[in-house]
Amino acid sequence: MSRVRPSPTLISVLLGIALVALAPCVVTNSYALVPLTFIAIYTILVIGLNMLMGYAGQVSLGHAAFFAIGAYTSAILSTQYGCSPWAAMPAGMALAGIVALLVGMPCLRLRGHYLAMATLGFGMIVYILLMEWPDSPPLLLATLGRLLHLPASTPWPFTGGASGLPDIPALAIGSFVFHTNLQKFYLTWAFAILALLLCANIVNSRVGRALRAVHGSEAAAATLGVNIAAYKIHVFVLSAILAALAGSLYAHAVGFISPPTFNFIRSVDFVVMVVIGGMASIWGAVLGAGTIVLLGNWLQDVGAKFPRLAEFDLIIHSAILILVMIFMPAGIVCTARDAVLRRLRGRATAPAAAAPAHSEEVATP
Amino acid sequence: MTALLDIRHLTRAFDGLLAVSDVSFSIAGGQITALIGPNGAGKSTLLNLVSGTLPPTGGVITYQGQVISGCPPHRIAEYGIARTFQHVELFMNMTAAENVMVGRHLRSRGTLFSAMFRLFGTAAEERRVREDALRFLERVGLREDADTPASALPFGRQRLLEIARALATEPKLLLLDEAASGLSTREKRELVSLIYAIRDAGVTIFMVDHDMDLVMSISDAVVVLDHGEKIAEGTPTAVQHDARVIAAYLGEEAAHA
Amino acid sequence: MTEPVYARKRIMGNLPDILQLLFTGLAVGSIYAIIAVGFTVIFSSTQVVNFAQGEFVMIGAMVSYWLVGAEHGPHLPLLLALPLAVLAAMLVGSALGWVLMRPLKDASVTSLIIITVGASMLMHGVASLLWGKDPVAVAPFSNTSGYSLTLPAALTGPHAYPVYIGTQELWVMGLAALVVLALTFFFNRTMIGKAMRAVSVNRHGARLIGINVSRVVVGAFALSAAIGAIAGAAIAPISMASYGMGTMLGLKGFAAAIVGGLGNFPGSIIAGLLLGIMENFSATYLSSQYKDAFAFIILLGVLVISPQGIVALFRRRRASV
Ligand SMILES: Nc1ncnc2c1ncn2[C@@H]1O[C@H](COP(=O)(O)OP(=O)(O)OP(=O)(O)O)[C@@H](O)[C@H]1O
Ligand SMILES: [Mg+2]
Repeated sequence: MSRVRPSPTLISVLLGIALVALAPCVVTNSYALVPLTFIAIYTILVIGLNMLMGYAGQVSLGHAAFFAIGAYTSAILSTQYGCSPWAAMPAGMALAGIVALLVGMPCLRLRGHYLAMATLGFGMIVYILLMEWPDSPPLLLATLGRLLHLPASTPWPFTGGASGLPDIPALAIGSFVFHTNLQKFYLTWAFAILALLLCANIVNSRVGRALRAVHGSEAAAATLGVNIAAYKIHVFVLSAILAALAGSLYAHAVGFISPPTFNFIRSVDFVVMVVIGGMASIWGAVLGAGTIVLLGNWLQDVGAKFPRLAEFDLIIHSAILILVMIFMPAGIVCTARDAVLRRLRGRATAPAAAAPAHSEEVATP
Repeated sequence: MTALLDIRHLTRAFDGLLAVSDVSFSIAGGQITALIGPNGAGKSTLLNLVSGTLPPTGGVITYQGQVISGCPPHRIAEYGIARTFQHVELFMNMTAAENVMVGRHLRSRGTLFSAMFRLFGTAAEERRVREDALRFLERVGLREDADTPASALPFGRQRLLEIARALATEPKLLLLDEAASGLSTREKRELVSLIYAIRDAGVTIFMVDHDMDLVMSISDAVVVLDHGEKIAEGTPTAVQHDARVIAAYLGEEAAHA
Repeated sequence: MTEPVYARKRIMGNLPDILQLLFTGLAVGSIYAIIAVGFTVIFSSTQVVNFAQGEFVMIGAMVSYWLVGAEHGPHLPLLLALPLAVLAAMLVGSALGWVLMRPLKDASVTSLIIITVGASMLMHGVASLLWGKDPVAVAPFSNTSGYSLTLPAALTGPHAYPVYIGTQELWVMGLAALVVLALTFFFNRTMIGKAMRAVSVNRHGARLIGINVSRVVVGAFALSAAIGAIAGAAIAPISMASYGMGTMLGLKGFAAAIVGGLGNFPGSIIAGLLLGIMENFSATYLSSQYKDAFAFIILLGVLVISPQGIVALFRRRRASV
């Protein structure tokens, strides 16, 4: 099939662009654009997490921490060090990538789910750090700074603790500032579509194929020369970088950040988004992020009238998580798509031959 | 003929059970060597040790003079050793062609980064990999199944697909674990000529099989395992008349009766 | 020449402090240890890392609080309430085990993790609805609040504080010891316990010799829930009880389980005790704000620096399954 034909990716991207471009014509209330902007931001993060869970077969329970690294790096650099947001954004991404490498490398070399545990611990540490970060440098660091002849005026980064950081500047190109909800909507979706495109490129490539192969049979993939641990690390680092990008966009779009946005429950929410959209389904990320953001919004609206109902937030999210995981492990999108396809084909094709039992010889490499 | 693969005092224990116990032998390049033995003798385990799927608990494996025991499987694949599995381990989530394309992994070099940004050469390499894959499918006679999902192939073709995928790495040593089991007589005949063709292309073959007629007719050398230990080694005829081998197999039959 | 004497004096002067920290640390550590054991029970028979373990602790604490002391509760005596709380946790635990049956068969570790995380959030949410969000004070098990232990002045210098030995802390340690003893007996002497061990060593083989694997899985969850509930009921009078208490306790027990080597029984007990003690000391001598981070730094440190060393035991077992 080497003949030239429009690739599904290209079609999806064009469709996505068209949808985003037209959305504001339908959604005329500019407040209604705010949740749509959040969907774009979370989509970026969820794509990465989706690849981690779907292709590398690993769960991260601490992606809110990478989200936080992006957001706080952006906020601190642009408010306290006078950096341009455009410089702060890649700085946060780089930091998240390095941290992910350090956390992921040892855990991903082993089989099993050490990454879930390590990221969980890591997320907790980051959260506690955000809350308890000292307002002035600890003595040791201050001394070190003096020894290194840093000017005394070098500002000490400041997280604002529980009260957070306000007044984060919006992104701007030249003198054009992305102020209004509509502008932010377009900006974040531009990033989201770009991220979707780039990640879709991975899926249909040598590396993506290797990752899907690992999903199919780790033992076989390894004997074909696929360095499984290395690819798992690559994907984890990529997912952390995307999370940091999302965090940076969040900080500049909302203008205010505080620790509760980055707690453990948020990490779980990201996992819920992946699960709803379907693991190993890049485009499912939009649906997963969309469902959870809109559901949260709706619960808030309802909660305004029936305060008791708002408390069901957590219960509903977790119930969705469990039910989808048990009854639709492929995610809602894929399950629905398969159901439709089956209906269309009218059971013309017999169910695929049962996969032979997995060999018990597969063991720890 | 020089030894391509040399196995010395190879041992693998599972919680006290010695699945492979102090086994030593070597495999000559360019030949077909068979590994036989009753059920549970440790044949698959030995293959797993050679391919790195399992680490040995003792002993040394040398391939072309280099120690490979203890290397991870992807490194051993880089040395030029490929394998199939007794219980088919295809990527059921992919098409036949894609399965073989994964086999071209070591023969292509796209990275995560180059793929994301579709850097120069990505598309061309992708096209080349697919063409290569089709060539290997052709070799095992699966050309027309290229775009069939692996899970939808009949069992015999799944076995062939595994061979095509292993061949796609362009190995020097091919390990086959019961490639003939579950095949019809006709499929077995085709498999035999495929094995000959692979051997004639210069690939050394080390195969496990239960079909004695097949083993005795095609192999140049035979190694026999029983309870993890090597009990005989030699030409097919010599092995067939070895008292310990006969006892091992008779014992098995007696147990089955 | 005067320096060492001075140093020695300081340490001796701090002796009551150190003993005090050691004592309370040991109590908290016992809790971490039994939570870690709860993780281990499930992990070694099912290979599931149960992220909902902490919620069993919360259930134990909240249910026993509600049965004994809550304003609108039934005001039962503790001796009756404790078994009921354990029973409630066991029911929830069995339900979770039952839910996990299907994904367990598909051997998809990712979904197992996600489902237990979801279950944890679900219990969290339900508890906050049932009992509200405010932490509640829970009455200790016995009325005597504790004993002051004055060390001989020769050891401590003249103006030292006495060491306070809280009764509830003694209860906690006693119950923890009891749990460990009971479990040892259970796994070595009873049929179900042996069946669980068989399943942990070789699931397939266990099925072949006629062990009902599903029942063992559900049993492991119920047992583990019971252990967690005991921990929760015992710690509640010290720490207060709230719908959210399970998260931190569970994660710290979990850290202990990993540090001790996942699936390693004595390892997790020792790690739990050490974690409790170290946490207590670091909170006093290093920084109290970062007290909670400490356990996770250790967890991460162990995973990052020497995961092999700690998981060696588990890997050997894993290879044989
Ligand atoms: N991963 C494992 N864990 C524990 N024991 C194992 C494992 N793999 C194999 N064994 C045991 O090692 C022994 C040898 O098994 P192996 O699969 O190598 O035999 P085989 O010769 O290939 O048998 P068959 O002809 O049935 O394929 C058997 O007793 C088996 O139960
Ligand atoms: Mg075998």
